[in-house]
Amino acid sequence: MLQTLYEEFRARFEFAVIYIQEAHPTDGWQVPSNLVDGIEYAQPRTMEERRAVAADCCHALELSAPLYLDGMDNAVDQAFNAWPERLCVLAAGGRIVYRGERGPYGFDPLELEEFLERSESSQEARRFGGRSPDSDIHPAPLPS
Amino acid sequence: MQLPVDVPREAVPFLTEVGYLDEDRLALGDQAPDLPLHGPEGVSTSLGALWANRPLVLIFGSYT
Repeated sequence: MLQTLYEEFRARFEFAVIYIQEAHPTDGWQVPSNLVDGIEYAQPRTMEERRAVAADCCHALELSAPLYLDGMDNAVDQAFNAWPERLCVLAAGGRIVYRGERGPYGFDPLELEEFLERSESSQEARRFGGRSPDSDIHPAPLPS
Repeated sequence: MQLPVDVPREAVPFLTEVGYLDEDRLALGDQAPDLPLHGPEGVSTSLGALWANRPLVLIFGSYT
């Protein structure tokens, strides 16, 4: 579903997959489903290790959205309390306009899709003079 | 942050280490911090560079 969202909304929104520390590494909290699926990775200790696992992940999930990696200090993860998985939308300029609950149970691509659809609607409304509570997700261009 | 009921007790130290039990640091409406990001080929950028011109959708996660 994430790939579908990316393809549907990429013309209007910047997308970034932020690869963070592992949810269920073999040296942390291993889960049976990963053993069944053959997804067995230790927690990366270097950027090179994290890059390698991230590449495997995007290849397996066939996700083509731009991929970035959190540094080994996990600063982005910690700032957004992102672990194990989370969805956020920032307005141009960086204000948080959508923040899903933490995964796994709060990770809701359908909810994100509804938000992005509403945001697009607000852009249309603004262009035709309408008002919307999401009107500042795209700040109005400065007069030339 | 409350633990889901299906989390085994032995996972609690790991969850503490990864910050799962921490309260949210950012709220809806807050300005996100401009933090560095690493590209898959080694080129660095930042969150601020990504949100500079368009709204930004962030998908946080990992393989395992």
